[in-house]
Amino acid sequence: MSKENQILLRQLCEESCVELFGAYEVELELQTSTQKDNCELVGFIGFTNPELRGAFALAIERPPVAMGIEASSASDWVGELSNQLLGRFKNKLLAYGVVLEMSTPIAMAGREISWVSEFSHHNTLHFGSSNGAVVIYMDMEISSELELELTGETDNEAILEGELLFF
Amino acid sequence: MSNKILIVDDSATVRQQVGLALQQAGFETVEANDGVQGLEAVQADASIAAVICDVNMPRMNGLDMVRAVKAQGRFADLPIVMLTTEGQPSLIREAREAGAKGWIIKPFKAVQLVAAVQKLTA
Repeated sequence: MSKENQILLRQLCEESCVELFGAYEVELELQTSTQKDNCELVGFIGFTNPELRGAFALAIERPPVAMGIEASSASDWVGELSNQLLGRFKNKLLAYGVVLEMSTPIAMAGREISWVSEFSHHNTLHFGSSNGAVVIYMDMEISSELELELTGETDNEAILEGELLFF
Repeated sequence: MSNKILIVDDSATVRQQVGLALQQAGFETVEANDGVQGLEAVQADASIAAVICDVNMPRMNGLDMVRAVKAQGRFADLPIVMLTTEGQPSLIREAREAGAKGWIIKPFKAVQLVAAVQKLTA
């Protein structure tokens, strides 16, 4: 596995998460320490491509407030947030000519989740925020054939989140 | 024209968000949680004026739902807007070719969504 690819994918995931929570007016700060967090809700979503497969688990203490959100729908909301996180990640990868197929998300409740075993294709991002901790567990198996180079082709670029297109 | 809008999304939270935004603008909303239910809702209720539809959903995805709806000639003029995390140009082309009228990337802005629905139902 290319170390450069792993670093770039981690960076794209980090950017996606910061932008997503920013859209809900929650500012995230990447933390280097891996102290125990108080996350209680987790959204899981998988993705696949011939050269890149894996899953993200997005763990949060509490969901960011958004229009019309009721406490009873917090578990559904974390599933949707994991979907929106992977959507942003996918859209960023389009500029590199990589198209991911996404699964539908599932949401679960649980505390102190952790990797059963640490493998080289596991990565964890810890964020702090005024809304509590946010942790992303990234499981990414990257083929040695994967080439992550910007294509420069506008046809590969996603439209931006929040944009509206009329046909 | 009716002001009833069908919201098709497998996330109850998104349906709630979209519904609230549209209801505050004076629209009536009904919901379906996948493409199969969405198709059934369109067929069962001729008063639906427009559809807001997710893409990635279980059982039947949004693009297949648009194709199934548009395959029935009586719904040729029913405006459908895709609301999704997907920004992939090839999917957007597919939606346009299937007969969708618009594409919005989540997270959406309520003002923008309402304006789009108002324009399509005017």
